[in-house]
Amino acid sequence: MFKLPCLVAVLLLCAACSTTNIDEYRSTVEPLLLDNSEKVVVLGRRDAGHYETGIDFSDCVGRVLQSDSPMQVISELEFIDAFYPWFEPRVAPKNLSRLKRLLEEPALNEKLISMDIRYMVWIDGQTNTVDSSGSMGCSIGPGGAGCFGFSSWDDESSYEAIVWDLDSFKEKGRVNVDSEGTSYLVGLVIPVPFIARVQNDACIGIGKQIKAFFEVAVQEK
Amino acid sequence: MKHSQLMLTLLSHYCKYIATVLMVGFLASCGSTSLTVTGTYPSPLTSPLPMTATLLLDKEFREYIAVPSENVTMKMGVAQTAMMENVLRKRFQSVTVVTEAPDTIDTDILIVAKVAGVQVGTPTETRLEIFEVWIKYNLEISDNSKEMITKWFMPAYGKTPSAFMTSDVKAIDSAAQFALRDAGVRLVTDLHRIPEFHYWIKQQQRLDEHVLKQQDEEGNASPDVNVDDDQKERDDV
Repeated sequence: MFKLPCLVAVLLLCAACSTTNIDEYRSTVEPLLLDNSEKVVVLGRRDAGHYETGIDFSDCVGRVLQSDSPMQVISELEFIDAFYPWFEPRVAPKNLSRLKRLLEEPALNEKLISMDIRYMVWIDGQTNTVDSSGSMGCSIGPGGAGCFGFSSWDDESSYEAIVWDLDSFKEKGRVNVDSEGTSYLVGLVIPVPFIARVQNDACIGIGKQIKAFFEVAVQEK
Repeated sequence: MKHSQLMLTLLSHYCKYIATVLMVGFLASCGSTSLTVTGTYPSPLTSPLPMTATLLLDKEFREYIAVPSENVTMKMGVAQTAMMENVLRKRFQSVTVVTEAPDTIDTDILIVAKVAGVQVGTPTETRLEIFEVWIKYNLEISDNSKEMITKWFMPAYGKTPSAFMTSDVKAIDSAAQFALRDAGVRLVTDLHRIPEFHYWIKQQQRLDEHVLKQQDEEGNASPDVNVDDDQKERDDV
């Protein structure tokens, strides 16, 4: 009887707050047209020394682009495996002129045409913990085990997405997203987390904004 | 009923010992990380070099266990064998993979791959929120008379972000997979650029061209010979 209200209450409690800011730049106000056979690939930048864009983040953005939309998105792993090793961190093209030169290789160009990829979305950024406080102690003994205490930490996400058109080899737009939030862990025998979904909020924010760039032409059968 | 009471008495009696054993086990497991590197390694999208190769991956390489620190053990033989085979099979016109040094080499070159070392960096050591893996390979390339062409030191690097609730095992495995993929990148993009090997390839191409030219010259000369032969035959007749 009380299961559903309890579950809702727990879910509400578990959702700690986060704030998200989004900036966007577009090279044109016209929507980017995709016919229903053309695809988009979302890739993460991994060439920086001290961080890397998580594959889970680019997958998340891909899922947001596809949700409630006929847009076809190729997963990052499928793409980098198909084009191995040309999109690995050491050699992935950092600008459009390098990409153009790379795609002059017949094998790569044929692969691109066979996969029908029209747009490439590069994502660069990270989520990290900027501050933490409090302490939590856990102990185990013959009489039982338990955790007591309170700790909190602040997470910050900062990502940039760049959209490349592979037909004209031009940049079509950029989206910047910054998100931050505080998570809590309360130890009352069992540790109870209240997690701020900072990275998830950044993903949804950036994904929705990029999605608004595109217009998919649905052909009637 | 009696049986359950007896069990309860025994449990309460041995509770201290059970708890101690559990705690010792828990503490021991906290200190060490043991893993097997997994992953699939795709064939590269590349055009092959104009030669055939024998690839020697011995038992030590195929069953390689890295111990980068006293707390970390990585079984990476299967994964690195898969990567080497998949990449090098596409890098040459044909590749024969062997597990022991052959007496004679039926291909243009022999490649012997060996691991020179493995290092792991964890967030606790580096203060960065990433796990890192470095793999150093030594590749010995010889011609078919077993004369050394070059010995190439090939380092590869992989990293993965440390995520909340992700285990060390999963993170090091992921970083090692990226390092192996990076080794594949170097085999595709840098192998033919090693100065000694590059020079050897050019030399072979010049030799091949010279042989072809000679064959062409002999081929052009042969109708004259035939004409002479024909004339001789006619004279004989």
